[in-house]
Amino acid sequence: MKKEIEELLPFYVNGSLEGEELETVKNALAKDEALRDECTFLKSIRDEVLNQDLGVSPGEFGLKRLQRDLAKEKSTLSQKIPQNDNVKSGIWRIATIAACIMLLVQTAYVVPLWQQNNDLVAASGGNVTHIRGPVLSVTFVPEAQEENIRELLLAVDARIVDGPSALGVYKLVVPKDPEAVISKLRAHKNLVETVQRDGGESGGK
Amino acid sequence: MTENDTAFSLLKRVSKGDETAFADFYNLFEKRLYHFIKSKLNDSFEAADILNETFLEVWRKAETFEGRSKVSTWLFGIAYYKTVDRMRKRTDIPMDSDNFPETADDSPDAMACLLTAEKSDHIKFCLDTLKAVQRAVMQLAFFQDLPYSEIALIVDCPENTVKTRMFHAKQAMKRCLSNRMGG
Repeated sequence: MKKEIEELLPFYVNGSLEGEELETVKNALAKDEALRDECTFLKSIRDEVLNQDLGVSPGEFGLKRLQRDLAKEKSTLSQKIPQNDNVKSGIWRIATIAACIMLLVQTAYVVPLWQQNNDLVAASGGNVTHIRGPVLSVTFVPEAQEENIRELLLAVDARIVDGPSALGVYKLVVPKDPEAVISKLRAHKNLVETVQRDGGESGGK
Repeated sequence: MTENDTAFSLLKRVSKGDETAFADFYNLFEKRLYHFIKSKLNDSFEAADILNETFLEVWRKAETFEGRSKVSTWLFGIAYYKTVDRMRKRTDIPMDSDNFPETADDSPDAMACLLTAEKSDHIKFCLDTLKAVQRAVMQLAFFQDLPYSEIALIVDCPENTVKTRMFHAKQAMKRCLSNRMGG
């Protein structure tokens, strides 16, 4: 216990002790002469620490030096920022040029295709065939065989140009007389579930 | 308005780049901080360097101060670390403290010497013989009059370690004074 009190004494001497610890130290001091001697000893050390000649602090000179260093730091920082900006803007410039070139190449490739306006490409792939005509949306019964579908489409001269969609819808293009084709398709109830003419008409070669 | 309030308000302005507030902040703490650094380094040029570095750090980090401790605790903590860092580079100064050989010495001669006219010189001499960490804690306790809780924050160690270091410093002073007085 005495060591604990002794460890608190310096903070009693500097006046920073408070609350229960302060009371404990005060009580111990009142009872123990050796502790009072310790207290006197610590006060002497504190007086000496306070009177230490630590020399003159840098004061105004220190402040000037600080301000000079601060200005130097700021100027270094401001030089670095434009450098970074230059690097960044250089990178962006290159990226912009590359993007422009890409755009030109794409444009050169795509524009001729656009000029073949309203063309559809046969879903059967292979050689590119552009076909023109009314578009029909058709769904087939689940039991329909590919072979039977093929025969029917060849019979009505229809081409699959899109599909199947997630709902099983195929887009067909018929070269002429769509109503007659629709009637024929509807007649094959064992194959065709639904058929309807779409609003537009596809065009092509 | 307490000193801490003033310092906090200055620091807020410093964080926004206010150089006038920075100069005021410097003037508020410069002497105390310099004496603290000097008491550890015992070299006025190096102490001035560390002082300068500490305030530059304040300028750079002012916006990170959240007010969870007193401004002085934060500031002295920065100075403490910079000083310790500098001392580590100087191999002539031992940094260990807690392996300090403990020999109880309550010699009455040491106590008696305080009553002599020469006591000031002896104490001064003995203060210089303290290990750096002990001197730092003693400086914070007796020059800055800080409570042990705050000293613990500055030197980043448990509160009990601060008390123990003070205790060891006192014992070392007694031993030194006893030797000087031939006791």
